[in-house]
Amino acid sequence: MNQHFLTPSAVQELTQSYSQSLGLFAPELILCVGIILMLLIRLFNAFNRVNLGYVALVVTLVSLWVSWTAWQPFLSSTPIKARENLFAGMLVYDGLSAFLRLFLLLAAALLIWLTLLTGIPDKEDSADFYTLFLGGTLGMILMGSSNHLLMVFIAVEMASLPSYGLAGFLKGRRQSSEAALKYVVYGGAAAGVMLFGISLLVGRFGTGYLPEVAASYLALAQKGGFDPLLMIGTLLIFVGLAFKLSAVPFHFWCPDVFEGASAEVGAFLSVSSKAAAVALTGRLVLNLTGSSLDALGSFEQWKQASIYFGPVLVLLAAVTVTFGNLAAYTQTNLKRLLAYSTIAHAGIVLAGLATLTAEGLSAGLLYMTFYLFMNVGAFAVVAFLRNQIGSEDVAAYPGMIRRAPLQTICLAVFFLSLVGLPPFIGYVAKFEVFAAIYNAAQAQSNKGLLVLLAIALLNTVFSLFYYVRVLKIMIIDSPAPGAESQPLSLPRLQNVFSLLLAIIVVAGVLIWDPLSQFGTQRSVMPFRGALPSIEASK
Amino acid sequence: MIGLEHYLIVGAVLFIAGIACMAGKRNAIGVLIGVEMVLNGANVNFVAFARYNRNLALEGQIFALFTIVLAAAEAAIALAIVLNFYNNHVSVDVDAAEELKG
Amino acid sequence: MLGSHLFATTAWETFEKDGWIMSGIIFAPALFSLLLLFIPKGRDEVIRRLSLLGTLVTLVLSLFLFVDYLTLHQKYELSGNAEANTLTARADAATRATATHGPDRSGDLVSRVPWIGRFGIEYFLGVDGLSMSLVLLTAVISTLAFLTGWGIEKSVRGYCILFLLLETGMMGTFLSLDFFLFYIFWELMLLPMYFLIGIWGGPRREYAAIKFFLYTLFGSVLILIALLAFYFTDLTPYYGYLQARAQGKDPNSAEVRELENFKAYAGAKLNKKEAINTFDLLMLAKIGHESARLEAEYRKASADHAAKPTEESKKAVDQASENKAKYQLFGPQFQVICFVLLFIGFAIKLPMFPFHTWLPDAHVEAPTPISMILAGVLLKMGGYGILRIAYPICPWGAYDLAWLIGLFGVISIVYGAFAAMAQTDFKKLVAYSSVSHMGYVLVGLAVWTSPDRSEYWSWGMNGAVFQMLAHGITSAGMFFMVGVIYDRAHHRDLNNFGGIANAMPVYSGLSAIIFFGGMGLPGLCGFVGEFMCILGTWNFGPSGHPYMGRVYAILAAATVVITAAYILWTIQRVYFGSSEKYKDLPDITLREGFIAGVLVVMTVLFGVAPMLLLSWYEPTISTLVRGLASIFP
Repeated sequence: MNQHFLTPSAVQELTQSYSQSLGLFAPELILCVGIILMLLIRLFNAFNRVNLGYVALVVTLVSLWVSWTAWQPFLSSTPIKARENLFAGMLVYDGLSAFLRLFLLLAAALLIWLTLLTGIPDKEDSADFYTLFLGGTLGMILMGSSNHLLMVFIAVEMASLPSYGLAGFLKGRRQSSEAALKYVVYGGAAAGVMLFGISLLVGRFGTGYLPEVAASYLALAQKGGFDPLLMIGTLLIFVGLAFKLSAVPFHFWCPDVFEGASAEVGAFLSVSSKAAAVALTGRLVLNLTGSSLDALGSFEQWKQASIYFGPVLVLLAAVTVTFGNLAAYTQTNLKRLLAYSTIAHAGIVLAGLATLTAEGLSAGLLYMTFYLFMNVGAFAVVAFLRNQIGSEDVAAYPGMIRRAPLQTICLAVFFLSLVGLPPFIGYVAKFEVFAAIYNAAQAQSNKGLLVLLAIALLNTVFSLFYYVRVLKIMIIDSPAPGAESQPLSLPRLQNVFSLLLAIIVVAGVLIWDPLSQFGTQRSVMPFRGALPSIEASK
Repeated sequence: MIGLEHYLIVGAVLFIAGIACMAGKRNAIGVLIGVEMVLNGANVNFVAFARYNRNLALEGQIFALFTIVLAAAEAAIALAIVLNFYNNHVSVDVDAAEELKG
Repeated sequence: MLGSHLFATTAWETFEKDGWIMSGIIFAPALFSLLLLFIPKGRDEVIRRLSLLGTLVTLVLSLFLFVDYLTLHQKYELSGNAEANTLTARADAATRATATHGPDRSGDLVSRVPWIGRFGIEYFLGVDGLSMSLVLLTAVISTLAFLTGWGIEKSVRGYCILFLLLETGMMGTFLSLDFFLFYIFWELMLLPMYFLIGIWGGPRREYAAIKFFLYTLFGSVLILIALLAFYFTDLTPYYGYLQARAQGKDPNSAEVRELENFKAYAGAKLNKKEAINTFDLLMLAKIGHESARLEAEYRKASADHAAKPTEESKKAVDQASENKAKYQLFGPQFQVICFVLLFIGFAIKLPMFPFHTWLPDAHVEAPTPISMILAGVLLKMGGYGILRIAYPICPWGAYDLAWLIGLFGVISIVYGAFAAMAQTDFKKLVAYSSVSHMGYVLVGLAVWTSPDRSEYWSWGMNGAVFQMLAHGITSAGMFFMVGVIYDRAHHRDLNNFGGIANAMPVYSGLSAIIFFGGMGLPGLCGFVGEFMCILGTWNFGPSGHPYMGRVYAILAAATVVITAAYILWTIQRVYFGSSEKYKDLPDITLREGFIAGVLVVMTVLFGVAPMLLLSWYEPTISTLVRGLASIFP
C-alpha cells in the first residue's frame, strides 16, 4: 500500500488475491450481473410485457443462496474467526459483513415480493425501479464490508444515491418530488461533510486503511493527545453516519421522505438502510475504540477512547429515542408515524452501540433482524390498504377491522410488537438490547448507561400510546357511514404475505436462540468478545 | 513558503463556503452548487495531503479521483430530482417545498 | 452424571405427567382459541359452547392437579417430612436426580425444560400451596365469568378468543417459576384486557382501557429492571459460600445437601469458570435469603460489639464483615431498591393507594364478565407477585420497608372505604371496595416479627392469602350481581334503585349473602381473612415503634364499620323499600342462578369451614414466614 512502484512479485500477489477476492465477492457480483441484465434487457421488445421484478427476485434469491452457502463455515461448532481482506484491503470479509449481506439480501427478496404484490412500480418503470433497488442493496452490502475510509464513502454514496431516486420514484406526485428534493439536499450535505471529515482523518494518520487508522487512533488515545483536527474529523464522519441512522439532530429528512415516498420504499429505507448504517457505525466505533481483533487495544486504550465516544453516543441515543417517540404523538399520517417510530427504534439500536462492546453490536443486529419482519409487515399493510382506499391518513381507517379484518389483526400484531410487548419478537429484541446495556453498565460501572436504560424503558411505555391509538381507531371506532364502510377484498397473496409476517412476529420467539447463537453472535466474532471492564484493567 | 497549512485552509474555506451556500441559497441549483463546493473542499485536502505526506502520495490522488466521480454521479441524480420537482411545482425554489411538514 | 442432565432430554421422549398437566392448564385455552379461528362466522352458539368447553377443560385439569397436590401433601404429612414438600425442596430434588425429566419425576409437581440457552431461560413450571389456590380460583372464576358473558352478541368469536388468551396468560403467571417466563405471561395478559375493555365496554371504554394498559405497562417496566438486575448477578461467589459452609460437615447435613444442589444446578458452568446467571425464582430466593442473613449477622455482631467491646466480639465483627464482602451477592441497598421496583410494579396491580386510579375506570367501563375476572383474579396477581418474587428475593427490602407497606395498606383500606361511601355508581362503589379489601392483604403481609413470635406473622400472611381468595370470590360475586341488575334496569345509579327485593326475591337473597360476605360478616369467607390479617398486625412492632402494629390494627378494624355502613346502605337503597318502576323485572334466570349459587356456596362454605382452604396452603406460607424470620439470628 505504501509502495510507489509495483514489483513483479507484488503484481503476482495482487492478482492472486484479486481472484480469491472475486470468489468471496460472488453474491455481490451476482447482484451486479442482475443490474446490468436489467439495464440491457429493455433493448429487447419481447421483455416489455414482463414485470422485471421477477428477474430482480430471481437474481436476489440466487445471490441469497450463494451467501447462505458462504455462511455455512460460520455455523460450524468451531467457528472461524477468520477474516479475509478483499481487494487489497478495501473490503473485509468477516462474520459481520457476511451476516449483513445475508440480512440485506433477505430483506431485498421480501421487499421485491412486496412490490410485486402491490404493483408499484408498473411494468414500464420496473427496470428503473429494480435497478435502483438492487444498486442500493449492493451499496448497503458494501457499507457493511468496508475496511478503508475511501470504501466507506463510496459505499455510503452507492447506498444513498439510488435511495434518492427511489424516494422520488412516483414522478407525478408532488409530495414525492418534494420528498426526493429534501432527501437529496440533506443527503448530499451529509455526504460532503462526511467526506471532509474523512479527508482530515486520512491526512492526519497518513492512511485510510481502517485497522491502521484504528491503531494510530489508539496510540494517540493512550498518549492522551487528541488534537482538535482529529476531533473535528471524527465528529464530521459521525455526522454523516448519524444522517444515515436518522439520529437526532440529523433526522429531518426521515419524516418527509417516508411520507412522500411510497410505502415500499419507506420499508426499504427503514430496514435495509438502517441495518447497513448500524453495521458500519458498529464496525467504525469498535475499531476506533480498540475492540477489533485487527487492531486490539488494551483496556487502558479502550477506556481512554471511550471517554470521547461513550458519552456522545449515549446522549445521541437518549435524545433520538425520546424525540422519536414524542414527535410521533401528533402524527395523523400513518407513514409519518412509522417514520418517527423508525427514528425511535434507531435510537434503541444506538443505545446498544453506545455500550462500545461487541455484545451491544450483536444485540443491535438481532434487533434489526426482528425489526425487519415487524416493520416490513407494518409498511406492507399500509401499502395494501392504500391500494384499496387510496389514503394513508389515520382518518380514513376507522372501523377497518370490519372491512379488512385479517390485515387489521396483522397490523395490530406488528404494532404491538413494535411497542415491545411479549410474546412478540419486538419484546425479545428489546430485551436483548436492554440486557446488553445493563450488562455493560454493570461491568463498566457506568451510571450513564443505566440512565440510558431507564430512558429507553420509559420510552417503551410512552410509545404504547400512539401505536395503540391507531389500533383503537381501526378496531374500536365504528366506520364512517356509506360507501366507506364496505368490506374490502384484497388479493389472496397480499393476505398471505401479511399473515406470513405476522406468524413470524408471533412465533419468532422460537427462532431467538438459534438466530442469536448462530447468527448475530457469530457475526461479531471479528471483535473482542469479552466485556471491557474496569476491574480487568487493574 | 507555501506549506500544507495553506492548502488545508483553502479546503476549509471551500467547505465553509459550501455549507453557507447550502444553508443560505433558496434556489435548488444553488444548493447543489454548495454540495459540490463541500465535496471539492475535501478534494483539495486530499490532493494537498498527497503532495505533502509521503505515505499518501498515491492514495490521496486516488481518493480525489474517486470523489470527483461520485460527486458527478450525485450531481446527476440531484439534477434529475430537481428537474422532476420543477415539473411538479413549476419552481426550483426550495421554499416551495412545504407540503410535507409536521 | 451429575450436572449434565439439565440439557439432556426433550419432552417428546419422556412423559412427565405433572409437566403435561401444568402445560395443559396453561395452553388448553390457547389451543381452544386457535380452534375457534376455524369455525365459520355466524355460528355463535357453536363458538360459545366450544369456548365453554375450553374453560371447563382447564377447570378439570386444575382439579387433577389439585388432587395430585393433595396426594403429595398427604404423603409428606404422614411421613413426617413436611420440609421435603416445600417447592424449593421438590425443585432441588428434581435438579439433583439423575434424570430431571421422565415418568419417575411425575409426582413432584415441578417441571423444568431448558428453553433459551443463550440466557439460560427455562420453561420451569411448579406448584405449591399458594399457586395451587390461585390456579383453582382462576379456573373457577374464568368458567363462571364466561357463563356470565353468554349474552354478549357483538363479535362473539373475537370475544371468546381474547377471553381464552387472557386465561392462558393468567394461568401461566401463576404456574411459572422462571422469572422471564413469568414476565412473558404477565405482559401477555395486557393485550386481551385492553381489547376486551376497549371493544365490549361502556361509554368511556377507550379511556379506561388505555389507562389500564399504560399503568400496568409502566409497572411491568419497573419489574423488568429488577429482572435484569437479578439476572446479571454472577452466582459464583455463592458457590464459594456454600463450600465454606459445608466444610467439615456431616455428608447428610443440610449444608452439604445445599452444596450438592448447587453443583447439580450449575452443572458444567462451574468447571468452565463461566459466570453463572439465572432467572430461576427459587434459586434467586435462596441467594436473597443468604445475602440478607449475612447482613443481619453483620449488624448483630456490630451491635454486640458496640454494646460490649471485647476481643471475641471484635473478631466476630471482622468475620461477619469479611463474609459479607466475599459472599453477599444482593447487598442491602440493592435489595431495597429492587424491592421498591418490584413492589411498585406489583402494587399497581393490587391496587394500592396511590396507584389505584386505573381501577375504578377500568371496572366501570368493562363488561360484567371482564369485571369479574379483573376483580377476581387479576388483582390477586399483584399479591401473588409480592409473595412469590418480592418477599423471597429481597427480604431485606421487605424488612426495612415493612412499616411503609403496612402504612399504605391501612391508607388503602381507609381511603377505599370512604371513597366507596361517596359513590353513586353501583359498580364504582364495588370497585372502591375492592381497593379497600386489597389493603387488608398488604396489612397482613407487612408484619415482620421476630422469630419467636413468627406464628403471628404466619397468621398475617395466611390471612393475606385467604383474603385474596375470599375477595376473589366475593368481589366476583358482587360484580356479577351488579351486572345482573344492570342487564335489567340499564343503569347503575344507586339513588334510582329501590324495591328490587319485591320483584326479584331470589336474586336479592343471593345478593345479600354475597354482599355480607364482602362486608366481612362472621360466618362468611370475608371475615376470616380480615380477622387473621388484623390479628397478625396487632403484634407488629418494628424496633423503636413497638405499638405501630396496634395502630394499624385499630384503624383497619375501625374501617370495618365504614365498610358495613356503605354496604348496608347500598343494600337498603337497592333492594329494600318499594318502587313502582321495578315491579316487573324478571327474576334471576337459571344460568345466572347457577353462577350466583356457586359463588354463594363458596362464600358460605369457606366462611364456616375455612380450614378447607387453609389446611393445604398454610404449610407453604408458614414455610415462607419461617424462612424470612430466620434471617435474623
